[in-house]
Amino acid sequence: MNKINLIVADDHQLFRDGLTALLNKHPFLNVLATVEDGLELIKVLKQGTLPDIILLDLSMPNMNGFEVLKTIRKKYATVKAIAISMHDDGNYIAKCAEYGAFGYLLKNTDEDEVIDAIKQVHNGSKYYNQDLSKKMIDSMAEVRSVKNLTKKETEILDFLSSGLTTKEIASKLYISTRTVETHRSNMLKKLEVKNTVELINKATTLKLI
Amino acid sequence: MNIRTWIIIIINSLLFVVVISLSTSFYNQFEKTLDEKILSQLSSIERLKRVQIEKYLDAEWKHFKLNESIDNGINFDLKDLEKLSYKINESGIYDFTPISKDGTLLIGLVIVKNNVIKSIKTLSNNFIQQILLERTGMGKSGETYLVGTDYKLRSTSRFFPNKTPYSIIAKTKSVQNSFKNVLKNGIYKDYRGIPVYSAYHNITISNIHWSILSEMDVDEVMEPLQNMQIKLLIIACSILIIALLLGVYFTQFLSKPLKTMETQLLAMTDGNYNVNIGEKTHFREINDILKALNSLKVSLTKAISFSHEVGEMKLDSTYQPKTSADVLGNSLVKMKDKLVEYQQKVAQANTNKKRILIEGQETERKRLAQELHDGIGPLLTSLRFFVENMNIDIEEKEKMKALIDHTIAEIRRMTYALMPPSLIDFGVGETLKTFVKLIKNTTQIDIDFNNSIKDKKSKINTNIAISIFRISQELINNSVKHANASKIRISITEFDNYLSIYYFDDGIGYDTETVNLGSGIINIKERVEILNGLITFESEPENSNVEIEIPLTHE
Repeated sequence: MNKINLIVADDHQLFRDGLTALLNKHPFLNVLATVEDGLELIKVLKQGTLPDIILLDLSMPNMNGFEVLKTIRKKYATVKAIAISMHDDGNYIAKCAEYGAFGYLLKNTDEDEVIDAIKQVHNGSKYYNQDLSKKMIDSMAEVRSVKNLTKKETEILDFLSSGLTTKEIASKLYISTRTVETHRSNMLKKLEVKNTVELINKATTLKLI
Repeated sequence: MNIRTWIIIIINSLLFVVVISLSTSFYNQFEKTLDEKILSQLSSIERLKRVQIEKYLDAEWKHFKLNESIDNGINFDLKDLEKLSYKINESGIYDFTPISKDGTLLIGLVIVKNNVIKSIKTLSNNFIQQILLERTGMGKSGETYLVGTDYKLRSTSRFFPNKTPYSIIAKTKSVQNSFKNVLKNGIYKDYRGIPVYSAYHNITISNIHWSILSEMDVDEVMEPLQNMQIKLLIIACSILIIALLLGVYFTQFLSKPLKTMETQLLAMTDGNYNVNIGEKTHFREINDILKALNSLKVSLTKAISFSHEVGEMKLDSTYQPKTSADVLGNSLVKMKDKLVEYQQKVAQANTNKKRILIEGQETERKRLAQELHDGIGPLLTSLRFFVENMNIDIEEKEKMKALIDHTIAEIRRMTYALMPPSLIDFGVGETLKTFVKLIKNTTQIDIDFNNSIKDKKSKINTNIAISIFRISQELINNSVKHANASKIRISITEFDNYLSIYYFDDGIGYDTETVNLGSGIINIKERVEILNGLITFESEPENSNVEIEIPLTHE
């Protein structure tokens, strides 16, 4: 079995050394290099040192993990990145997934889980443990329902077409009347109409409602 | 001296002078006229009697010449003719009174031829006395009488009817004047020594030389004049007293308003502007002054109430200075403007201070959070690796790892409390979404966050993001901890030029007046204030909401 080649990218030397030492205990793992920031990593990749997996810290000076992820997806598609971070916030996890990270590990993850994750990713799956998956899903950005109009605008448009007044809409949506008014006038601008009647007609034509 | 006294004195002195001079000149004129009238009347009486006497004697003489004879009826001795002080050398009329037996007037008609008395007749005094006694127009004391050159009376005195005329001496000024032919009618003393109006003339008929006098007592003539004098005096006094009373009465109309005005001005000088001016008087000038005084009072009162309000820092009150010359008004307005300016500066400085304080606090929190998260965090993870790599008892190792994990979790919690890292990396929308989820998962509250913050080109900078997060956090904490809410709705909408936050809960509500008391709310207000935003609270049980608008002007 071929060794799995790794690069560890983290700005803290102690952590790099600790992780490297841990990885090197396993005979099927080979740490090709350790780098202290994104720029250095890209430099190493440019020189042709292409690992199978990069264990990537997100918060690094010069070039952070997210930017590295973007570059890798674009230029080094064969290289798989696993984010390894202190952040347990769902937003970080979701962003990493969005930018093409194959896995997400917390820095205080147990050795076994780290090795397991490396193995799974190397085998082509993605690794997000249950806890993190849940967090990630919670933070996922909602899909826009209508192309032109925002979700809130569509809601307001619906209420307008069913004949509700601004005040009624405001209390239904838990927003201020001024907010409703601003949304309405924004929609008038977007759909290039002059009044609410025209707005509803045009929206119907465009099948927005 | 006060005006009233002065006016009274002036008016009365003038009146006094006028009354006195009028009375005096009137009196004098009257007296003079009276004198003239009396004298001319006496003079005409005297002339009339003189003419009558002359006529009578002339007639008697003519009659006698026709009937020359020795009158036997003569009641004196012819020899007595020798006693006369003059000699009878020619025919004519003679005064025989000195030789009259009873001393009354006796006139002798004598015709002398060749130095011998041819014929003689005497006339008794009857007729002449009758002429003289006729006293029409001569009052009670008037009389006309004859005096001879020997200054003895020829006719009977009215005052001494029983006395022989010839025995009464009348060597008075008028008699003397008459004989000297000095005609100067006037007031002289008569033979009694009493002042009389005297008209006199001498009568020369043939050989008779008399003086005829018509006289009247001054006292009698002066009696009406004296009456008039008393009446004039009474009238003058009455006029003066009436003038005095009228003066006193009328000057009060002048002095009273002046006095009132003085009192009011004094009150105003003492700082009491609550005086009542504006009583109408009878004088236009005083009314004008009152009007001016009133308008002074009004403008002063206005200025005072304005300065009072300014003093109480009610700087929205206004004041319109009367003119550009209204120094007080203009100064007050200037003062107010300066105060407003100062207040604005203070408010500005205050806001700045708060901003600096809060921003400094946030910067420090952010720094601390990063230190903890990026400094201590990696050290702890390194330590964990180190432990993991140690060849020690598995159980011991697990214990140590658990301890380190616990520490790391604590670091994360502290980091989040200080400054959620995602706030910087992913913005307020995402951070708040995570926070809301956390609340939802750890409480029974139906909480929903509607995030309408722009994905691209959002104008929400870190400062605003931190503020929005802290405000939302505070509001949610209040709802959870104090309001006992079971439903919370948060809506954040970003528009091109402003950001709207709408917060709702169905908690027990709070008093919007005393809402300031909670320190959390103060923090919210301060954060909105330093972002130049607006915040409104509305609350009733089961329906409380907070509306915040923050301008997004910068890029």
